[in-house]
Amino acid sequence: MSDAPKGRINLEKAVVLLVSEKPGMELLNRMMHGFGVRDPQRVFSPEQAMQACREIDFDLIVCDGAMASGGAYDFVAELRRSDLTPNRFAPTIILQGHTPVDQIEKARDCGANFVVAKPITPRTLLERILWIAQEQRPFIELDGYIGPDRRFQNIGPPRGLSGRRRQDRADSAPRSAIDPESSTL
Amino acid sequence: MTVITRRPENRLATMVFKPGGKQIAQAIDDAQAGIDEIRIAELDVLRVKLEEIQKLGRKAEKSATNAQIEDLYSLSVQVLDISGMYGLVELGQAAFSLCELLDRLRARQVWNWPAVQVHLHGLLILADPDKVPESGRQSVVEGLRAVCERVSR
Repeated sequence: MSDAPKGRINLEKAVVLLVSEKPGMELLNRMMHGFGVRDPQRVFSPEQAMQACREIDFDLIVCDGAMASGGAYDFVAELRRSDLTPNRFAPTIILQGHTPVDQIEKARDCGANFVVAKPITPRTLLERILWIAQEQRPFIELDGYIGPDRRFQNIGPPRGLSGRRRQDRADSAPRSAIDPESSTL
Repeated sequence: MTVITRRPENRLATMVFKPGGKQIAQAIDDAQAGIDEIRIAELDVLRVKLEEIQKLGRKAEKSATNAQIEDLYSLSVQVLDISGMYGLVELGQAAFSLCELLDRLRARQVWNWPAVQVHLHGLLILADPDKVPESGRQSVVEGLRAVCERVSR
């Protein structure tokens, strides 16, 4: 794989939660082992995932979006609204094959760091993990949304407006995202 | 509207670039090797799912219940998952098109057997990619997408 990203990755001590119904779990688990994660916690429903989050502090959460009735989105939204610190801030990736039309708003608003479109390859998943490890988006809390800032680029407020956030006024000069092409949200 | 902005510690960032671990290229290769170890078993699962889709589709020929549409959708998602992982690109694209079609039918509370049937035929053709040249596989996928687009949201 000559065009693979350069450098090393160390996930030996990462505490990772995998949330998937049984058909997809084995593939996900094998990928994580390949990345060097020693013993990912595996749960098979959003309810089990919330329980795990009450008991263990996770460094990364990966959810299969194919769980029934938007279960992955509901789980992430519930976790973000919870008082389970540090898990409520944990980096979260949702893997989604097809998003039903009635789930699109949930996908946008649940507060995941990434919703990654399937098919998933080891390379795409690892790239997203590396992105999350390097990203500097702040965590935003407001009435209808709790999660990482959904703006991947800070291009300042609209022309002629001062913006609603303190940072908008203090730092209105356009600033590039690290890799805006990778945004899926 | 009050906006609270926080900068919680990114614990993943503190460990990912610590000394040790493995080369990124090696991590990708190891993950792919892990997936490849279960390739035969997963392709068997895929074959079973494709058979189930065909069987369920035929049952729903005249009309489909919401439960049958849900089951067909769920099976299509599983086909999409596995086929993408093992390089069956066009089969995954056809499964995605069937997901989209079923979602539109579900949203509009209608049933369109010819549109579903042509997707089931498409899945059968694409399940064995060696028998169809790449240009033919792409034509099938484009045709399925066109059928799906005719069913408005």
